[in-house]
This record gives sequence, structure tokens and C-alpha cells, in this order.
Amino acid sequence: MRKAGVVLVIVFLMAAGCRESSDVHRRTQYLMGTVVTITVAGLAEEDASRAMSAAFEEIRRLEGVLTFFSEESDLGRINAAAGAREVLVSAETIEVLAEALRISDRSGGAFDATIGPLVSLWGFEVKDRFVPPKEEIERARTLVNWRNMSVDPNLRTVRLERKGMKVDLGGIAKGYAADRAAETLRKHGVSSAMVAVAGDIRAVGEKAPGVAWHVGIQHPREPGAVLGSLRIADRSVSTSGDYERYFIKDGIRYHHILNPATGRPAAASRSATVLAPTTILSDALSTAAFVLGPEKGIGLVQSFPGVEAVIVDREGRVHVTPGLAGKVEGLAS
Amino acid sequence: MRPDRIITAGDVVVFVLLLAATAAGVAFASRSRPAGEEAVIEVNGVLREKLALSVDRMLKIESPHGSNTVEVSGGRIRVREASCSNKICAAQGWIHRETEEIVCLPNRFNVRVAGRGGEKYDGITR
Repeated sequence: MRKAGVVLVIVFLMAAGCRESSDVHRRTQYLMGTVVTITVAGLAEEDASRAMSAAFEEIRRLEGVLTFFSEESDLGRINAAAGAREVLVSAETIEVLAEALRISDRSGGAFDATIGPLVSLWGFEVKDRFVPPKEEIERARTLVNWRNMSVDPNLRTVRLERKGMKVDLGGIAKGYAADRAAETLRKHGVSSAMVAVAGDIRAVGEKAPGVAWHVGIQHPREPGAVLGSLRIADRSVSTSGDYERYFIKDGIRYHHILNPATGRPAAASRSATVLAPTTILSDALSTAAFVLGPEKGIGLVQSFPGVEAVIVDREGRVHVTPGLAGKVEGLAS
Repeated sequence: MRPDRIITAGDVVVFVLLLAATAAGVAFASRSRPAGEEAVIEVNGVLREKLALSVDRMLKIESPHGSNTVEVSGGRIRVREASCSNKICAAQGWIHRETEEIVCLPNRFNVRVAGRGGEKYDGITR
């Protein structure tokens, strides 16, 4: 009896010490203007390293194609030709834009891939922050309309109908990159990994047999605290929040997620987290749900199969789709 | 004392004392746990330093991308000075909770707070 007790205690202590096994490899690179972290589990260091390098390389390649900040990129050429002619682009750009159009349409424009003129006007990318004059917001707003973008998958061409229109893939490109990086990892023999392009997260398989990946949801008002957490395998999760990039002027919080309908920062939510089969979908739908707010946002995500959401409204109340009820760990409600 | 008795009064006393010591240890450990124990500093994705948050210090991290000076004080860490253009990292202030992170994109520098027993979350969606 006593011997059995001693053995039990030792086994227990050993188990407590093994929370992170040695075959979990994690690497970070700075790509797409943000932090990209890839974690690979269940492979030897050398194999994991080779797969991660290939996945980072894939993201770097996509960044060159999809960036807003280069005139030579597909996006740069599409925007430069706005109102003039159609542009021949890569298959990847067609894939992203076709999905962007579909979600723009399904969300009634709450997500709009042609938000570019408003993003440039508000200038959240530059240091000098200001609230643009009303007339300028109105002028930019009239240029934002996904219906004035046509994408032809057969000819691989894209056309913006009006001069001054601009495509901005800020709400979808990171998710797409996470999906492509996950595919690259799989092609390199990885069956257990997590790709995080900033807060757009793709889980490949489980972390270990029977153990899902554990993802915390950032609390929208308490830095460093989580709102709750999710266990995911072969799924994606993204969050859009008003706390990531913002400035406060005259007591009003101006953040970077603009409502295409008003031309101003969306005011219905503090954050929207979406769980979906792909990251391109979770990324774009988190933006749409954030803009729409809890009621319409939950309605929108429920119209997509396999998609769930957690939305924190402007008062801080938490709304969860029925499919996620009781599955968000640590959620006070 | 009968020689064939398996558990003596002394055994019971030792057992109770051990139980009490364990309970006290667990109580102490769980109380001191919520804050992270160390800061992990990476430049361009490569580990540069692991700093215990229990030791106050100041350290300048230099790389071809720029320099960031971190300060550890009272169990917290912050970026005190940085060579970057926007100083967002320095404006963020102190962090101390597990998974809290400061990122300086221009300098490809990041510091995150971690516990020693592995991290609680594999990732944070934000």
C-alpha cells in the first residue's frame, strides 16, 4: 500500500512537470506588416523547421501579391487602373477577391473589399492622426461599393468601375495567408500545427492526440486578460476589436474598423470573434460581425455552415451563437 | 506499544504534519501565481533574452533593426526607450500578466510575459 502511494505521488509530480513536451516548435517572423507565429507539434526539430520555413516563404510570396502599399502588386495595379480598364491578376488574387465579393454581398456591405478610399482618408497607418472633415468622409464613402467591382475568374481579370475606387484586403488577406500557410505545412508532412497571422489563427489537426489547440480571446477592455477561451482543431478563429489600433480625441474612441455605411469607425461592438472552417472566412466575417453588432452579426454568421461567434457589444455584454453556448471556457455569464 | 501494529501514533502525527505542509505550499503557490514569471524577448523571431520578472534591471536590446531598452521593476516589464519611429511600444506601458505582449513592428522586437511551466494558451485571437 505504502509503495503504491509513493509511486502514485511520483507519477503525479512527473505529469505536472510535462505540460509542454519537447516536440513543440515555435517560430516568429515579421510579415504582412505584423507578427506571424507558427507552432508545429509532433515532429522532429529538423522536419518541423523545414516545414515552417516553407510556410513563412508562402506568406512572404502572398504579401508581395496582395499588398496595398506597392504599385507593382496585383492590388496596386487594380487600384491604379480604377475607372479605366480591367487588370489581369494572379489566381490567388482572384481567389481572395471572389471570396471578398461573396462576403461583401452576404453581409450587405458590412464587410466591403472596396473600403480603400475610407481607409486612406482616416490614415490609421500613419502617425499623424486626425478626424477627417465631413465632406471628405462623404466623398470617400460614395466611392466605396463592392457592386462596382467585377471579378472574372475565367479571364482572371478584375475591374473597378469608378476612378478613385480602391480595394483594401486588410480584413481578409491575413486570413487567406494563414490558410495557405497551413496548406503548405500539410504538404510538408505536418499534421499538427497552429498558424497565427496576428490574431487570425488556423489550427491544423490537434496539438496532440485528444488534445485540441487552446486559444484565448483577448478581452476588449483589459489588456493582457482573456475574455474566455476556445478549444479548436482543424478550424480557424479571428477577432476584430476596437482596441487594437485607435486614438482618442475629445473623449471619443476612433478605431481602425470603419463602417462602410457611415464612413466612420463602427460603433456597435467592442469586439467580434468568429470561429469558421477557414481563416479567410473567419477573418472577413469577424469584420462584418463587428460592424453589424450583436443582433445582425449573430444572424449573419449563423447563415454560414460551421460558423460560430462571440460578440461583445458596445456596453460590454457578451453574445454567443447557440452552437457555442457553454463551450467558451472561463466566460462569465 | 504492540509490535504488530502497522500504523503508530507517531505515523499519524507525521502524516498530518505533511498534509498541513502540502496545503500551505499549495496555498502559497496559487497565491503567487497569477502574474507571469519571466519575460521572453525576441528580435526578428529569434530568442534574445529571458528575464526573470523578480529581478529589477534595465537592458538595451540592439539589432540591425533598431534598439529597445526594457525595464524590469516590481514584477513588471516595459519598453522604456526605443529607436523606432512611432514609439507605440514605449507608449504601451507596463505588462506583467501571462500572455501580455509588447510588439515593436519597426524594430521587429517583441517581449511577452510567460510562466515557467509552459504557456496556458497556444495563441491569442485579438
